[in-house]
Amino acid sequence: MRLLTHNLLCGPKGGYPLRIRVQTLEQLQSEYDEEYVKRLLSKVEWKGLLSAVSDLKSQGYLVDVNLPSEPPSFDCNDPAILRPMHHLLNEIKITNGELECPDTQTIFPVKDGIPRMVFDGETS
Amino acid sequence: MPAKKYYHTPQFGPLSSSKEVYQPCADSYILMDALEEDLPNIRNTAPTICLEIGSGSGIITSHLHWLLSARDANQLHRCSYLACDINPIAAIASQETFTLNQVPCDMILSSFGKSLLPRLHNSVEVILFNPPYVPTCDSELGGTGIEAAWAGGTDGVAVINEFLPIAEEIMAKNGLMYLVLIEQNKPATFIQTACEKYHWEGEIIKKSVCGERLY
Repeated sequence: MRLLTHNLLCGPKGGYPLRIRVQTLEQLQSEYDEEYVKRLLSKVEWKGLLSAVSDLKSQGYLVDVNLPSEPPSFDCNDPAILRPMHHLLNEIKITNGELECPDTQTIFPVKDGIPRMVFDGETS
Repeated sequence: MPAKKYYHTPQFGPLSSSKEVYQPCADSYILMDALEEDLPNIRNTAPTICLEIGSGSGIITSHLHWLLSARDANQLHRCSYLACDINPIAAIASQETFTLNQVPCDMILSSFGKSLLPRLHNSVEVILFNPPYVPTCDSELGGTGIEAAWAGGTDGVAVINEFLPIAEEIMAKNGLMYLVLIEQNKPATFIQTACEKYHWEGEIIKKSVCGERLY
């Protein structure tokens, strides 16, 4: 589950953002594409990314990452700003851990990269 | 007799041949054909997020990624792919396929991708669904094993109909959704009803006659 995907996940009643507890994390390599990162940023909920980064930093990851409190402006073309965005969204993958819904406190496991978002009444 | 067609197929991992995972067959290939035929429309949408429901072996999303990125380097269009399945073995099989073929797709164990709402409200440009379309008793619905890949309830459209309101919420304004149907699903009527209800436009892109009539 890349941080981009975490940014899109909600709990059973829409609870967002899900809190992250990391057991294992993997760094991926993915080609930087400015135009693509800008399109991705238009889909990103900034408070979700702030929450994810905060959770990971509190567990000792992303030591050198400092996220501004506001997202880049839509017409930002600065690689110094966009490259770190690419790295965060596309290259940080939680392989094992837990996601917790802030509303219902339901815990959703992440196992081998797959978040198990099975809601009550759905069996798996 | 139509000419034999050879497909660029992704590499599969060991779990893709599990009996718990839907094996690619005629319905998978017709969807792959339809995506290729409709590729100009897909490119026009310039998708940022493509979502597959019930990815099974992962062949469909892998094929779309190949069409948009790997087939022609000059025509590379980058996209984020998401896949959902309720079958945990299929989820692993799909993930194996995506990893082996460098498809930038994250897998989510989820029913219909419900966990992506409300975040992805009107945000997904392409939806792919090779649904369970076989007419069955309703008692065969609700499983999470291989039967979830084919059991479609009354007229074979129970599961598809359950997904449509979610599709409505998740699909971007000019988004595209690709579904496979068989003759027993009464495709023309199904399309007309869905389009009237949700104010969509719909058409049959591809038809095939084989063991099943596929649309």
